[in-house]
Amino acid sequence: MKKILGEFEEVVLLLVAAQHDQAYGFSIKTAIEEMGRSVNLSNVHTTLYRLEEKGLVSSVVGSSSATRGGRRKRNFVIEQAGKVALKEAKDSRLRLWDSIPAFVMEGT
Amino acid sequence: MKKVKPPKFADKLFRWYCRNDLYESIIGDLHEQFEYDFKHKGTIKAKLLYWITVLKFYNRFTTSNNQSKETSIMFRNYFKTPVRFLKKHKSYALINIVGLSIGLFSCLLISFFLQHELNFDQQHQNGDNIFRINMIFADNSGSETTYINSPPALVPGIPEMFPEIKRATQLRYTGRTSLRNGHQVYFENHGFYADSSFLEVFTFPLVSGNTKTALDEPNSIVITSHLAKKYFGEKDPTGKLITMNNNVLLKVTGILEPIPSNSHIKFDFLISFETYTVPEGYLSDLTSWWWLGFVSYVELQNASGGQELQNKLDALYREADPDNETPFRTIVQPLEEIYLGSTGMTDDLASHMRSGNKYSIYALAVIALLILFIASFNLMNITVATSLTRGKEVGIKKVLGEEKSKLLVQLLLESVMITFISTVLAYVLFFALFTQIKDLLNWDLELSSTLLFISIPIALLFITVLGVLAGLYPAMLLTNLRVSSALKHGLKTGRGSAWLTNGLISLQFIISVALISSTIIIYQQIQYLRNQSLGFESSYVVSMKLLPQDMRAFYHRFKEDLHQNSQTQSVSRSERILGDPWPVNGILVRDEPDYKQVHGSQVGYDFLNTMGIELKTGRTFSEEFGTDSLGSIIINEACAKHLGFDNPVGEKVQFFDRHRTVIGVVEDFNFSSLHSEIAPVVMIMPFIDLQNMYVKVAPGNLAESLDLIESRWNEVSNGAPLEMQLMDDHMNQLYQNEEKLSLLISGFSILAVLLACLGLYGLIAFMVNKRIKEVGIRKVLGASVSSLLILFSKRYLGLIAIASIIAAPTVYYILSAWLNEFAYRIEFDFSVLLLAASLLAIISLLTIGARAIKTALANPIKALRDE
Repeated sequence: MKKILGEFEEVVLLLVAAQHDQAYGFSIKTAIEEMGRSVNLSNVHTTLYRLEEKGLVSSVVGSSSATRGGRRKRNFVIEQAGKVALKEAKDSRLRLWDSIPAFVMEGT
Repeated sequence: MKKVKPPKFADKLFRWYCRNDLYESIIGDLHEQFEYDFKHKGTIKAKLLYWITVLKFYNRFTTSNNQSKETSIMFRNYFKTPVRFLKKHKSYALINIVGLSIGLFSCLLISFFLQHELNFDQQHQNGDNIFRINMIFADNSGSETTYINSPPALVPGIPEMFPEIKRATQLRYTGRTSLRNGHQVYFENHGFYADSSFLEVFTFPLVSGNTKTALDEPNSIVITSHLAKKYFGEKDPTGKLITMNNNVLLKVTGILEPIPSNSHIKFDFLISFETYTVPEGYLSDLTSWWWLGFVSYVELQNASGGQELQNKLDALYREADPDNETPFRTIVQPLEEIYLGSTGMTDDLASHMRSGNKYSIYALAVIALLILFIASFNLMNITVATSLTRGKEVGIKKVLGEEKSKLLVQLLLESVMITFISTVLAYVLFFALFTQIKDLLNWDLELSSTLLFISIPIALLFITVLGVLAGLYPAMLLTNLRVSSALKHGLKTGRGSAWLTNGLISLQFIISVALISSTIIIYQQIQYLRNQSLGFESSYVVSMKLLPQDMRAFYHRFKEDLHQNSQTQSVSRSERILGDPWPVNGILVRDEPDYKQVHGSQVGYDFLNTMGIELKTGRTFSEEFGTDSLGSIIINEACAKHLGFDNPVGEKVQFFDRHRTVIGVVEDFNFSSLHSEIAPVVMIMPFIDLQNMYVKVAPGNLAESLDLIESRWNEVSNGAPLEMQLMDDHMNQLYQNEEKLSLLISGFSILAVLLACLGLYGLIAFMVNKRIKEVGIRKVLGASVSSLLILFSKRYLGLIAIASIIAAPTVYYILSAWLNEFAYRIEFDFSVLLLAASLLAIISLLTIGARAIKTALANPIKALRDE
């Protein structure tokens, strides 16, 4: 069965890939907010767990850091299935882009 | 800069609900976010965001319990074993669930009814300060009557004399009234003349109009929204005119919100008191301190002043009539006591005030409790019985290391589950059947949704407690078992559990005997009342209600017209219909100074033969004697005795301010229901316009006669309003309350007895199953079916006998009190208890037999085959 990515899931998955083994809940939240989009930490976490459930990412409990009161982070990395899903999402977007006649987008 | 920490309580909350391995990384992220927010957005915003985030984190990922898989399996096991157990013992579970849900359903039904009955007249803002003035009237012989009525001079007069009265208001029942708007003409039975402060003393909100002024002007009428719809449809009736009794024009000055069903004053319209005029021919006027024709309410400055006002009013009446040895006395009755506290009081106007019966309320409350007891005893008994088979199960669980407390919880969960399922079913039943039952019993109550809402947590709490209580004893018994003995022998029937089972069954028997015998006695009493001769004949009499002016205009022509018909035997009319209370008036015997009290009514010619009242001596009113309409009076035997006449015919009396001669004596008859004794009664010829007319028709086709009367009336009167009713139906209504009560009590009693039998059946089935081998061996050795039946049932028959003896005094005490309410009553007969006990024994034997015979008849091989 083909797994369909939601829009927000796609964003989170892209960021996991971009931050590569440095990605964790708060870092992704910050990155999304830097894009000018406000989001609650719980939504980011929930989405990450959902992606993990679908097998698109995997998580490892990392090392502790002083800023977090000594608590360890849960770092996320993208899995093969996640890469395929991202690729497919991108391809389908591109196909849609390609189908736009050139004059429509003229002047943008 | 000082370091600020995230809100502690939010942390605790999160710790509480998030118990898996996600916790550490999430709380880390949360704190990191808090520090970031604190730097960029400030303390308050950071804390707020922290809280919001913690709350939003509550979802299946954070709450799932993947940390300790074993615990969750254990937890699921808690539910799995009870479900498995219930499935295995389907019939016991079914018996329990059916019994409990019916029991709870009855309780729900009864508690809603009781809640309604116990919360009358609650909507009035000044309710605590409102009192009704009732009058006690005693005649020389010392017999007392309490009236809810009071004289018309009271309300205008007493506020000036007694400053503690803030406001006072009075009502006069309009009687049957026709209202007309255009072509819409109906008879209305529920209306009052009310003075202008009525809507201020009482809180009956208006949809439109002003409560302060709506009843100020003469010829004003305030109607309920229901009545507005009936006469005016969707149009706004404010300011429109309504014709009353075809001759008075009334202006609608206000629309009332629907009158709640828990108001003791029942009305559809109010007419301003100024509109009321004393009918021609009445001997009193509105300045009278003696005419008990009104209902008065006072609003006091404070709620505690009732008794004091009562003393002052009594003193007032003593002083006003110093020679009288038995002056009027008053009862100043608080509003909240009126509905249930007016049993035995007379309403001289028959104005349809609602009044409840304390006895039926107590009876129903007790029955509801009893039903619940029976259902929960069943649960306990069957739980105890089935637990006897579970020694091995519990033993193995203990060997495998189950904690005692967890085992206890698990066992309790079984009974709690049963009670829970039953509650859900009870509510389903309640919703499905409420309207039908309400219609069946003619209950005048609305289902309040807030109340229903409140009832659910109460019911839940209650059933949990019930479930725990029912399961506690067997559960303790099982969990305290020593493992080795549990595995070896199973659970032995201890002396304790046998005592418990027998005790509970005996209690059920006691309750059953009491309920069955009460049902029988109530039924007998009602039949007795029904079959009592009232002294007159109501069958084949059609009673008709007409407007007074129609009576005046058409009566004679109509009577002649009917007489030409062979189906009509006789026609008459009267002031009060038989069955309604006849008003009390004073009568003077010629040479005595004091008034004596008699009930009197004005009646037309032919009244005695129409009603089948037997003439003892003398003659009846006759058109041949022109003087009858002014100077003659007919009395009954009780009256002759009351007035001290040995030879009544020819005696002179003074009644309604006229000298009259007794022309006849009739046999005693009961003008009202048999709740009261036969009273002294006088009859005189009419001097005001009457409203009740009677036609005695030939036995045979009643429907045809009714059609004939109606068509003749329409022809004669050109379609004036007319209401017909068979006298038999009217008389039956007098016992409506008792019948309703008897229906309720017998219905619920049967239910209770059935539930007890259901429990007995379950128990017997279980006992028989346990002793199936014993039965087999006995049969092999030659025991007969009947001896086996005796073996199983003798214990219960003994219990029934003991139960009857215990039940007897209670039943006697309670039912004697109830029977004492009636003037005509049956004697309490202890053989009824015997009857009830035998009935119960038969039912129990049938129950036991149904199960035991199956076993007794079975081939013993089957029972003994496998070991």
